Amino acid sequence: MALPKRIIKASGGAPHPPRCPMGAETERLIAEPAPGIDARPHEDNLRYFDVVINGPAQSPFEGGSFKLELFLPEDYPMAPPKVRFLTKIYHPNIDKLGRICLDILKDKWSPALQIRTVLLSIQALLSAPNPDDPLANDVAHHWKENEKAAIQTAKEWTALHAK
Amino acid sequence: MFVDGLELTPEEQAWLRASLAEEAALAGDEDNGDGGAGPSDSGAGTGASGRDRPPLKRQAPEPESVHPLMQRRKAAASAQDAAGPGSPGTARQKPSISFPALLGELTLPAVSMVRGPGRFATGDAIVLSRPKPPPNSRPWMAGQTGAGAGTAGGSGAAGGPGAGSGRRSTGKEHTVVRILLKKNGNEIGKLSSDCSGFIATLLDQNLCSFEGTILFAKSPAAILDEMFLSVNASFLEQAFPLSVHQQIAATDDDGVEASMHVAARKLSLTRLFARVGVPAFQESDAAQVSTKPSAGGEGDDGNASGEGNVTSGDLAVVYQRANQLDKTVGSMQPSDGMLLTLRNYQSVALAFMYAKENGDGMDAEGVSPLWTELCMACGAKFYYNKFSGELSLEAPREIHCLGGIVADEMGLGKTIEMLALIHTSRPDRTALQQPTLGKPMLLVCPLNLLAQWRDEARRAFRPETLSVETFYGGDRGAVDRHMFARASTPLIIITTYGTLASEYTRNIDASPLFAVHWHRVVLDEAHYIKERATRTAKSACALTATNRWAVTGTPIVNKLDDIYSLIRFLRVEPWCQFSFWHSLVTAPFARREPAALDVVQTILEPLIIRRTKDMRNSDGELVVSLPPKTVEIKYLEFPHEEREIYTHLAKKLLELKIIGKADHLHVFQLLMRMRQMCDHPLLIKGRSREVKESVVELDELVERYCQGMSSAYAAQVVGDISESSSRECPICFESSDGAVLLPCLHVVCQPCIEDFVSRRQESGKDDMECPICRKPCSEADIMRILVEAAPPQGQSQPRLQSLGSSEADADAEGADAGPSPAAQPTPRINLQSMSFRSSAKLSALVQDLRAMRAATPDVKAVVFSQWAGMLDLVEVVLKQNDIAFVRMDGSLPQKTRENVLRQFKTDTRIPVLIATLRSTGVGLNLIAASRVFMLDPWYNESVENQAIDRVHRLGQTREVFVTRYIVRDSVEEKMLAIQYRKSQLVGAVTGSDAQKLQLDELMALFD
Repeated sequence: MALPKRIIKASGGAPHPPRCPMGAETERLIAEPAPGIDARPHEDNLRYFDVVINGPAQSPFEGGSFKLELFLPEDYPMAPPKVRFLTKIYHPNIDKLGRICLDILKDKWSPALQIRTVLLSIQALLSAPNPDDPLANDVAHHWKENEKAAIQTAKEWTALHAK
Repeated sequence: MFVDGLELTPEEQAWLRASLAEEAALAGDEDNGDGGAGPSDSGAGTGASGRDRPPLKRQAPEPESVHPLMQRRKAAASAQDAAGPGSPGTARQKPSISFPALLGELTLPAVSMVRGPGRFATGDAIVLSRPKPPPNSRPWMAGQTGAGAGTAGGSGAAGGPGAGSGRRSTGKEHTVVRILLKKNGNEIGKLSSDCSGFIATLLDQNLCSFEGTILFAKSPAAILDEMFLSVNASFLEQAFPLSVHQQIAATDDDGVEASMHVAARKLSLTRLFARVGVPAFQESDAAQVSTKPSAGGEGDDGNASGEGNVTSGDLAVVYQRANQLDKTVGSMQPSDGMLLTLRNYQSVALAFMYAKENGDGMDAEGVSPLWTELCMACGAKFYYNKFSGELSLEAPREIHCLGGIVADEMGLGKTIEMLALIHTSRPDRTALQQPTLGKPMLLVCPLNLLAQWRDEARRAFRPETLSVETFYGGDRGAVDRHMFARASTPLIIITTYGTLASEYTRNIDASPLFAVHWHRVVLDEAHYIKERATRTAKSACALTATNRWAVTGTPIVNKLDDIYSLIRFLRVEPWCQFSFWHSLVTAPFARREPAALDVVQTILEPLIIRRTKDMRNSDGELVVSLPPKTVEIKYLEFPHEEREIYTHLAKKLLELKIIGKADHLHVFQLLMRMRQMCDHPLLIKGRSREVKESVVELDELVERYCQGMSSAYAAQVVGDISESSSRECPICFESSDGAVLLPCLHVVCQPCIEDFVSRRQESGKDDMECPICRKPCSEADIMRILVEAAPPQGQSQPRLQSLGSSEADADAEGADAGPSPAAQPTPRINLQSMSFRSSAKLSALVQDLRAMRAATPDVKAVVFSQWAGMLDLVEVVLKQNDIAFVRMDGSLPQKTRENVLRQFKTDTRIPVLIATLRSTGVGLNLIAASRVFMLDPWYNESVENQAIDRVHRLGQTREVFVTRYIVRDSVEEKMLAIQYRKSQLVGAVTGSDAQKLQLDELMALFD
């Protein structure tokens, strides 16, 4: 079945073969990167992106640069991309394995969303952790019980893992 | 079950006579209740009275429903019974033969019914008689009078002709023929049953009388003793009608009874001739091509069923004669004054038609080949028609059928051929003084061709050579009874079938159409009269004319009998008698005898000229050089949902069958549904028009959306939308075709929204929201955006005109064109509900049309469907795909049609005409197109071919491709099979390929 056209252009049929077989979305993502976000597709697999998100200012993650992996499933954009933190992070909505609790990555996904919007949402999630909808329960508990201590831990983790 | 004379067992013969006699008795009751009831004991011949009635003996026994033994006893008791022959005299003038005229002698076996010595002896004179003269014989049968031996002596005939008619109202008919002693009228016996049958018929039908002597008898006599009679058979005067056609008229009343009458008659006569050994008249003209096989030669005493049979040899006689008219009569050019030039094959047709009208070299004085010249023992010659059983003293003239059937395939120019004939073959000017020679001709055509014929005729000739008028509606002045007297009378009168039929019904006596003897009557699209019982057919046959022509591209529409109506109109002897046709064509065909086809073919051969487009001339070149035509059947599969609905319908049909409610109407309805289903599910619900009308204009929708807001804002929105509809889809990032508009005015492409919707449904969400702003909406609110190309200034908008035939549309168009600024025509945006779904066929059509447009942009196509509703849906998809088109269907008035056609022909921007099968079936010329798409099959391929031939006809320069869409495993496939069968039938009858067909293939035609 077809590759999502907005990610990977079909190579045949075009009047002049594109130098890069990437689709419009990928091209734009590279050409106009969102501030603090860097996403590049693997050369051997255009569905697989190496992503780096800088920790937002005024957040416990400031100063850190977090690596993520992003994978576009077969039925993207009808289905959401799969995103995971590779860098360890202390965050109530991100678990030990790097999985992210974000509604647009699940049931609130819309095909009108893009890689860029997803990564921006993740960046926003770093700014505003939401312990009421936790994925890492112990972190969320900590965050609710003692937010200052939790933020402190987060900063330590950032310094430790994301430098 | 038709009783043909050829295969009768004695029982059947008896039954046959019973029916006839019953018929006669009934008629007698009505006509002349007391006609035969009055007994006349005087027994005197009343010939001098001029009006003869059979004075019948009152003591006649009543044989009705009596056991044969009883009958015999009764019969014996009434020996006086038999009425003797009376004087032959009537006022009729005949060739000088005295009646009864001796035909010849035959020996008959008989049995005695009396015993004792001295009752009779060898050498006694006897007469043969049927048991009982009916009490109510018909007057016309009662030409003879007299009873008993006294009067019989002179004329030598016995068995009063009155004996022939009614016998009994119930029970099985007997064939007893009594033997009466001439001297005293006593009954002494009866004929042996093996030969009494035909004698009985001859007596009953008043054809012959029989008298003779006892050749051998035992003495003293005992009951059932065998004896032999030498009998002289003599014709009665009644056997020879005044005119040959009297009988045709009498038997022309379709009925099977009439044909039984004829069958019994010819069976009996043939047997008689065989027994007597009637010689052929020796001095007959040897040059006569119509061979005259001696009737005596073909009979076989032992085999009753073999006689009267129209053997293949007999038919060969008919055929041989008929085929003398060779159709290779060369070619001929029309006389001066015709402005059109004929193509080669058209001039061949002209030559053929001219020859048919102006004597084709056949000896006009010749004896009709159907008749055999025979000689009586008394020396007089007479004529016998083996096929109808008629007798005549005068030599029956061969009746030429002046005219025939022009059955060239559609598009070969039948009209031109006919016009050339009209122009070339005119009655001799000098003969115009004779009132019997009609000068003008009548052309009958369907209403929609009336104007075309008139214009064609006026176009084809220099004005002074021919004048044309119509006889239709209020325009009837040109025709009246005295039209021939006026020099100003036009040469061609054109009328319609409808007018003809109504004149026929309303005032056949007063109508000039029927009062006038036309020089020529031409039926265009002659298959209009294919049902012989219809008013149209009857009225056409009632016209009198010297020359008759039937013009039709489809001489057989449905069944073999369609031809009969044409034959009857043409008055082709003898086939125009239904009894004849029935017994030699219809009945054998129903019995699956392939010979029936041979018969039809041979009947038609001299009459018909039919060329198909793929026919070749003697040099092997195509008669008509038309570009090739390729017909491709495209098989489609139902998608799952459509298959479900179809299966449901099919099940319903099956249920109907099972519960036995499968009456014609129900089944037909369901079948129609199933056929519609093959096109599009919406047709079943009859909702196609709704869908078409659900197309709204964007402005309207936006107006609704922005209620209360400034119109500037609305205009902005419209602009944005029309812009964004050409931008890329926010989901797939492509500027794909088919943008849809959500109620929130977001635009995405159609595949994406469909994908989106189905995904939501799969994941169990039945609500719908905009993928962009998540605003909830319903599926029905999603509209397709249909962008129409901006119409060039000053040009009429093809799309609008095609959309509807109503005036409102035309007005709207004018209004649109007015205010729009000259600078930049804005594209027009229409919206259409997404709830419309395509179907397998529509998708295939669109795909093919797009492929056609891509590959050959200058090719035009015609799309046919039989449902106007389907055309509505086609309109929708064509608009979606931005394919311009015009539409033609039965609802359009004549004038609009002409406009539509002109537009299609001339406007290069309109590649597609969509039309209903029926509206374009006849007459039209669509050679601007070279692609044809048949969306659905019709039961009859000839109807489809008619439509295809609108494109594939003279003048077409491109190769023609036809695509027929057929849904697999559906009723459509079965219809194809029916079509195949029918076209085989037509081919077998009119073509020369019949020989190539194997017998089993022919058999398949009947299933």
